[in-house]
Parts: sequence; structure tokens; C-alpha cells
Amino acid sequence: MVFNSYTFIAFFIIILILHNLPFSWKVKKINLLLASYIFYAAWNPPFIILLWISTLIDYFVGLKLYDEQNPAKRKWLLAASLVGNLGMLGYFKYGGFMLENFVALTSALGIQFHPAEPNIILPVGISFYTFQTLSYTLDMYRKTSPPEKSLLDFSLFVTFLPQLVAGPIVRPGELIPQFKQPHVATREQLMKGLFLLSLGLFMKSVLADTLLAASADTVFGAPMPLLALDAWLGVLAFSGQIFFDFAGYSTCAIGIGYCLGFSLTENFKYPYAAIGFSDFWRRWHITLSTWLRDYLYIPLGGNRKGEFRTYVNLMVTMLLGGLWHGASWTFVVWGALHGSYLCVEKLIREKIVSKPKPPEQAIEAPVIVQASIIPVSKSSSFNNFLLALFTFFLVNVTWVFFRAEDFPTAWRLLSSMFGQASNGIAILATIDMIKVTVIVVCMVIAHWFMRNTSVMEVARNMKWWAVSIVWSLMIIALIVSQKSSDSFIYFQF
Amino acid sequence: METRYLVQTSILTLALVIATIVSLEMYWRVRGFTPTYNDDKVLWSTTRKQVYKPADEATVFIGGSRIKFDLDVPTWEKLTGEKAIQLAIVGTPGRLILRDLANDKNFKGKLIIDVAEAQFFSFPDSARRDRLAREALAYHYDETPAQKASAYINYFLESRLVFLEEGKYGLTSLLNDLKLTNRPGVNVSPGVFTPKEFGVVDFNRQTSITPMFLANPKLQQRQKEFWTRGIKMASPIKGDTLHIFLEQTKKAIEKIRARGGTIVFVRPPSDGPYIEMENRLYPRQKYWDYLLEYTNIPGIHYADYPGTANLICAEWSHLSRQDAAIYTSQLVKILEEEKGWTFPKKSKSTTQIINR
Repeated sequence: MVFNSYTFIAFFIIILILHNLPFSWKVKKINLLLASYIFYAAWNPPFIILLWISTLIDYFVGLKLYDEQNPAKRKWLLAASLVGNLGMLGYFKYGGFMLENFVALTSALGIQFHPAEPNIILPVGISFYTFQTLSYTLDMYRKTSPPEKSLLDFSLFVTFLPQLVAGPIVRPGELIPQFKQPHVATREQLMKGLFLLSLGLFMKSVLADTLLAASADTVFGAPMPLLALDAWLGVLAFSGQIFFDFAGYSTCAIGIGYCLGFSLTENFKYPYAAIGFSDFWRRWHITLSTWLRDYLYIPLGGNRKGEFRTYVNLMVTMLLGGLWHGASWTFVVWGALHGSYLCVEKLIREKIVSKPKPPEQAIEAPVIVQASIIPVSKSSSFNNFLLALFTFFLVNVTWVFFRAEDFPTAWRLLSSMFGQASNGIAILATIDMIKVTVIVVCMVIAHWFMRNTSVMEVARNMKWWAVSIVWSLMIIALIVSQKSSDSFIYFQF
Repeated sequence: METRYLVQTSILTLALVIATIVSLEMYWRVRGFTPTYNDDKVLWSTTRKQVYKPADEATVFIGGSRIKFDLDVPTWEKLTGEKAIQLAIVGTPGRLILRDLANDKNFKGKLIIDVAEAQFFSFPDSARRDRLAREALAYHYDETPAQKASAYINYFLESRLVFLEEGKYGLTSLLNDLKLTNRPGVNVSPGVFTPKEFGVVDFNRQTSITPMFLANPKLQQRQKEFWTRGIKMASPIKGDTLHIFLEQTKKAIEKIRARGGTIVFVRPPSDGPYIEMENRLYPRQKYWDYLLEYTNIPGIHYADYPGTANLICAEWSHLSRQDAAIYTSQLVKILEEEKGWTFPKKSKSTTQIINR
């Protein structure tokens, strides 16, 4: 079930009513759990079994892991969880990709191997809930938090419907404690939640689907070289589309959480105002970047094992981060580009800018979350804006690999963007060019001015009638755009 | 959001939204528009699910816009006592749908394929021509339970509210109404040029020209100019490409026939200078006749029958609802008398109507 559908609106109203009836807290949690299963099963009912398997493995392994003292047994338990979770993820998400590469490898060695088409369907949101349950098991292994005794609360943590299929990737400590006490939205939380839900749907349905998607699809689907203007507008359209689509989903999730009385972690913080790539990753898909930091980069050694290992760890983290997004080498290249940008940025910061090196703060200051290319000075706002634009430019280059179906498409588009393609043609209609230009320019400016604040902060300082006008305009645009059935891009991850 | 004014904020928001939506709905109704269905992949998929009816209960129609306008579904159902399952998709040649039905082992029914040469004999699997068919098929096979439920809520609302027809009144369509001039060489979707007044879609997917369009020569002229531009850009397939396409078509047809299915090609009417251009680009002998000969499938060309040869298309390419009823009754008559089709469920009174 997608948030931008009539089914969800009807479903959500029922959930809200049930959640506000005078049932016991346990009954309300059971309602939420059942609703979450229905929400998930509405895509493909059989895949709910995977969710149950993941829940049960991590619940029982978590209980055992925390109490087990024998190091060997602890490793076996951890391995059982990793094999269970990553095995499912590996089979469903990477099975076809691995087979394809194996066939290519055998073919390169002169061995003819023609396996049957695997035809594996990817369960929606498997990467998200796998990472969420993995974080719980890894926490148990490291004994950083006590195990959850209640299967109901743990199941709800894995399955909680707002963030189940596309994040934010919530940590056990952020969500499970909220299930311990009755949570029903206050009037203020309900309003805040509905406002954020409207905003998220507006971002997804109006900005991403109605106004930007067609231009991005046209440009990325073009089988021929394009004029530089068209190529750039297509990439910028995708840049806006992916932000509004994914941040829109997270905003809806946070809004739904508020409507039910829960608070979820922020996942986006105006990423196109980032000054440098470490800043970008503090603002884009925050819950994934912090997950990768805590459960991959730091265990690999982070920045504690010398300069060279820091760079290696950084690249490995970003390559795997790229692969997390999809089973294709184009995603690996996307991750590699981000890793390279981060490495170069770190090099510039340490070797050229000569910024005093921050003290080794053990695990608290890994590369991904350290400072930007150049120290941000309040007095050089214009320079910082130019640096943010430069970062945005480089981010757009990476999006080419993220969105392109294959490498020939990516190269064709890059050569068009940088004026290297001969006989490039015009492909975008004038109205599409205007839509992309207006939205992307407004988006970048809005990100810049909002970079140190939040939507709710801005709304809080506005007159109530002004909030009403903005809110109603978003809802009217949503109704008029009438895009009700397109899935969110990140569902496929 | 000022905490003290939460109630005021929500009441004003709701009032503004309701006032705008009511005004919008009234605006379209005052201009003469009526509720219609989104002719999209969702409605197509709902219709596609009906193809498994026994051969003596239904006939499936595939192709492009001509058969969607020219087949009058109520007339067909009244005359034959059978259901007309309209699977044609505007702007597409129907070949992907033919292949889909051929590969569906459970489809064993009667099939009528609309042949509008500029579409039917366009380059096989061309991304632009087949896009809508590809999307419809993908949606049909991947449709989730949630999407099914949403579809029925959509149908309920669309049949009551004018402004919910995305193709005409959606934000994209409203922006396209600005009709900004494009750079040379930029091709845009035909929907951008089609006037909102042109057609309405029923739940059975029949499309009909509206009385507003029939009463407005300016709109008809605009549409004629658009068709003319389109046909001038047509590039007929020839040589090997034509043979490969005909071979693919024949194979698909043979699969259906092997299961007991029955197929007929139809060439619905077109008119004026448009038919002259069609005949020049796609000479009948080289395309229509050759198609029938190659596939060994019977065909009904409108020009061969006095009852259909003189029907007039308001914008040179599609029949009005009234003429669609005439064309449909003639089609049923030809199928029965000449092509050996039987309609066991039709009543005696309908036989009298046809023979009148």
C-alpha cells in the first residue's frame, strides 16, 4: 500500500479511529501490528512470511546473544542472524545480479554456462527492515542495549507501518521505548502529523511525480545523444525527483508517526545545501549514513587505524552503501564516486586547508560525519553558497549513474552534459524545461535558506492563517495533480 | 504552526480546500464537461481480467483509438447478447496486446483486431508507440491488492466528479494547456494537442466523441490539423521489417487459433484528405490485403461494404456515437453473414434489428 493512494487514506482513518478508542495499550499495539502486516501484505501477501522469519530470528537470537557468555557461542548466534537476514537479502536482492556476474565470469574464462532466468521478485522494503533488525542483533552482540523481552514490542519495532518499507531506518533504542508507554497523539501532534503528511504527499505526488518525473524519464530513456541543455535538465529533474520522492516518503512516515503519537528520526536535512560531501551525508538519508557509520565503517576500524586504512574503510563503506541501493554495477560506481569525493574532501581538509585535525574521538567522529571541505564561516555566506552549488553539481554527476539503466546510457548522458556528444538533439518540451528550471532553482534556494532550521520551526513562526493558506495550496495541488498510484522510488531498494 | 490557533488553522485549511474543489468542479460542469473515467492502465487491467469468458459469451477488441470510438459497446452487446471487452489503447497498434493474449494459455475466445495502418504498420516495439501498452501490461501483471482496492475507490469518485479525469483536468494537462511553442524537432505526446472536448470514456472503456466537439467546427479543424501532422510523420515499415512483423503477428495468431480462438481484422472508417494520405502511404494491396493473405485471417474493410463505406468521421478519423452504433450493427451483420460468426446468446428480436 502506498501513502499516495485512496486505499491508504481509508486505511489510515480506520487505524486512527482504532488507536483513539478506549482500548488497553496492549490491544492498541496489537491493532498497530496487525495494521502493519496488512499494510505490507497489500503489496504481495506471501512476502509477509519473510518479515516474520526476520522478526523471529532476531528476537530469539537477540535474547540468547545478550545473556550468552561463551564467546564462541556468541559468534555462532551472531552468524545465525547474519546468515538468516543477509541470506534472504542476498537471495532476493542480489541473486540475479550474482548469477549474471558469474555467467559473465565463466564466459570470460571460455566456459559456456547458460542457467535458467532466475525470475526473482524483490520484496518491497527488504533492505530497510533487514538493516533495522540487523542493528538490533549487532547491538545485542555488542551489549550496547538490553534485549527486548516482549515479542509484541519487538515485532512492532520491525514492522511499524510508517517506516516499514522505506525508512527512516530506526534504531531499537529510538522506537522500542516508545512502545512501553501508551502513546496517543495530542491535538498539536495530530495537526503536526497531518501537516507533515500533506507536505510529504505534496513533495511526492506533485513535485516528484507530476512535475519532474516525466522530464527525467524522457532524458534517461533517450537512446541518442542530447543537447547539453536537455541532458542537464534531465539530470537536474532526477535530482529533484529523487529528493522529493524519498524525503517525501520520510516526511509522510514522520507525519503518520506523529498522528499516532510516536516520533521517528529525521532522515533528510536540506541535502542540496550541503557544503561538501561529509556535510551532504549528514543531510541525505541520515539514518542510512549513520547506520553505515556505526555498523560498518567503525567496525572496519574507522579512522583509528592510520590514514591509509581510513581511506580504504571509507571507500569500502561507500561501495557497499552503493550496492545497498541496488543490485547493479551502476550503483557501485555511484557509491565509488561518493567515496572518492569524501576521500578527496578529507585530503583537502587535512593537507591543503591545514585545518587543525580534530582530536581522535574514538567512534564519535568518523569521516562520514566530520566537517566539510572548508570550515564554514558565517561571514562568507556567498562563498559557502558557491561551495554548496559546487557540491550540488558533483552530486548531480553521481545521480547519472544512480538513475541510468546501464553504463552506455550513463556515458551517453555524461558526454551530452559536458558537450562531448556530436549531433545531440533537443528532446524536452518548453513547458517541461520551465517546470524543471523553476522547481530545481526554488529547491536549491529553499534548501540554502532552510539549512539550519526545519519546516515545523518555520511553520511555528508563521501566522496561523498563512500556515492555512500554504497547507491548503499543497492539498489542492495534490488533489489536482491526481497521481495516486505511482510507487516511491526507494521501495525498490 | 501557532499552538493557540490549531482549531482555526484546521478549519480555515479545510474551508479553503473545499471551496476551491467545489469551484473547480462547478467551473468544468458550467463549461459543459461531464464525469468520465481515466482511460489508463488501471481501467485497462480491470477490463483485461474479463478475457477468460467463454467464446460464446464475449469478444475481445484490440488496437488503437479507432475501434475504441467506432465500436459502440451497448449496440454490440444488444445485438449479439455477448459482452464486448474493449482492450484497445489509444495511440497504440495493439501488437503487444495481441502477443500478450497469444501467450496467455487461458485465452481461447473471439478476437477482433483494429488495423489503422499508421499505427499497425509502425516500427515494431517502438518505444513511443508501444509505451502505453507496455505500461498497461506491466501494471496488469504486477497489480497489488492495494492497487486493486484503490482502483475501485477511484472508479467511484471518477464517475461522480468531473475534475478527477487526470488526462484532461490534472495538473500536467492544465500546464500543457499553455501550449508553449517547442524547439524544432521536439516531439510531444498527442494528448497535448487533443482538445478536452474531444472524447469521454465509459467504464467499459468505450470512448465517444462529445456533442461539444461535434458542434464546434474550430475544434474539429484543430484535430484534423493534428492528425495531418501525425500522418505526415509516419514512416511505413517495408521489406524485412514488414516481414518480421507479419511473421510475429502470424505466430501470435496461430497460438490463439490453435487453442480454438477466432480472429478477424477490421479496418474502421477514416475520411477526407486523411484517408487519401493513408492510402498513399499504405497502399491497400501492399499492407491490408497482404496482411490478410500472410496471416490467412479474414478481414472487414469498411470501404468494401455499402453500409459502412459512406460513414463520415467528424475529424477524419473517428465516428460519432450515433455512427458508431451504425458501424457496429453493420459489423455484427457482416460477421454473421459473411465470416461465419455465430452469437448463440442473441435473442430473436435482435436478429430482426440487424436484418432491418
